[in-house]
Amino acid sequence: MDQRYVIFFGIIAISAVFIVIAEVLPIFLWPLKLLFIVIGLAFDILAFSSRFYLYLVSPLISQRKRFIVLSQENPYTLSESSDVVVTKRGENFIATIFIEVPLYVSATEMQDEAKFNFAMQVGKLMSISPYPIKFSNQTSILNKDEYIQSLHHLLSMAQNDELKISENKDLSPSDINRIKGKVSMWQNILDNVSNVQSFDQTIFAEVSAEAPKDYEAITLAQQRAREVMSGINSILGVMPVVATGADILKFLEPEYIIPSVEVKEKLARVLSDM
Amino acid sequence: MNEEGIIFLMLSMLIPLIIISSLSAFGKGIASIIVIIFVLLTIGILLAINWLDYIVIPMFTQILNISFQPAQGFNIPPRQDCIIKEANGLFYAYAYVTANLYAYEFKQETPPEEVNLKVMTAPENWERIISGLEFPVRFSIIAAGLDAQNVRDELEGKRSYQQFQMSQALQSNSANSAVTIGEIQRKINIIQAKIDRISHGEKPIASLMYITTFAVGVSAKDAEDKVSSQVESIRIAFSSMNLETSRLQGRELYILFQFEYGLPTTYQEFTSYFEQQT
Repeated sequence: MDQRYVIFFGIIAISAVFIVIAEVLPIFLWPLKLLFIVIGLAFDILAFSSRFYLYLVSPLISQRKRFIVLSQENPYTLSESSDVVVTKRGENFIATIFIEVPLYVSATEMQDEAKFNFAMQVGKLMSISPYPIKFSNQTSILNKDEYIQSLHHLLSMAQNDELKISENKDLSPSDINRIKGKVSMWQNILDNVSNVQSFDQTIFAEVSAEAPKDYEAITLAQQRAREVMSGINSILGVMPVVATGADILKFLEPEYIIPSVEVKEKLARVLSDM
Repeated sequence: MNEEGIIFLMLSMLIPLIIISSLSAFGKGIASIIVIIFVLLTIGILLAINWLDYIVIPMFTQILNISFQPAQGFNIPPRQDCIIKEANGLFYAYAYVTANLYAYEFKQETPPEEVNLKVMTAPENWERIISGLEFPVRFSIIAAGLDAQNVRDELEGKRSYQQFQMSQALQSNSANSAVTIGEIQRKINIIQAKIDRISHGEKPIASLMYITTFAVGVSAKDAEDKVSSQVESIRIAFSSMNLETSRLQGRELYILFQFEYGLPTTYQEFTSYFEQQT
């Protein structure tokens, strides 16, 4: 029997027991009767809530706390090939593959007919798979940490050159101007880049497969991903690629969507301005 | 409401009915009146959960201040309207908003020219809105292609039923029949439009569309507040596209959180979660 029904009937039975007790108690104990009625009705509400909220009702009864732990496990693991996300649902494993779609077109640059055709292509894309498939268009904050580091490096090199001006007597006035100009150029670029948040846009598809064993689910998901990739290729004319390793994290983890370096940089600027 | 829902509701209603039928066991004074009040209140709550569970259950968890850990490192606050994660000393919050483009295509009885115009302008409107939002956002569509013949058979069955209703309405002489005929004709037109589209080679799909937005804060409350204001910005921005946007709460939030790591793998499983949007 389905676990949902077992829990529902179990809670309904508890509710009925309280109601029966309330009814058989003598009338002069009416406050106690009322208490049992209220408890019985509360269990009745809980039983009905289990229809949609089984994941909450069952831990709520067993843990009886204000902070309910539904799961203590990580929500996913990466496969050995680091291209598949594996999660467990009930007794089965779900393997999911993320496919990046390198589509760099803008509707603002299209003629009316091209816009219509593009919208139709997107519509066709939705029906390429008989099993559920997810398409997403994600705007995330670009991690400019590496770029900013390289700018810092270039700036300090230019500043070193500037310090050496007094030591080097052979430099002509134009050379001195060039060195000073370089410093202010890198400083301006650095200020501009670190003051503005840059965004990155990615289109990706997601396919999942379920099986009792993880390797079965992975194989099935890889097969589905190949089908979906060929569908995307034939409709949009682009070569989709399977996301691997750290690239997958930008679809899963919020700290990769909003890099903490960017946030801390922004906080530091706010604090220094105060 | 499906058959399973009816069974759950009927069985839950049995308990209040049993109490009412044995009201004499509580005497005739104030006790029986209090019992009646509690029974009526329970019936009201049961009906509210049946249709508005996404409002009622989060309201309960908010009153009792109950929060949840759906997975290690994640937290659902009592309002059940966002997911919180702590990482690198910062708090990340993300929330889901329905973005049902479905009304564009299927719910409305729209003339083809208008549909074409909407389809043509949608990508440009979309780009304009997305570029105006200055925070991370993700638009997702979960779709499954359906068997065209099955869908067509089902639609033809529905059309026949509506035509039968129409013939009955035409025979009746009641004052409301003009309104009823108009309504039935509208339904027939919608069904016919769907059949025509399938006949023209369009493949039917079941789809679920939603927007996820991400915010970061120095505390959980800060992140929650930021994500709430982002949700409002999204709703205002997308109102120009005539999108049905509403913030997801309760079980739908939890289901979408699970979908981040593994999609439903069959069409049946997919539709069992979201009956309304398919």
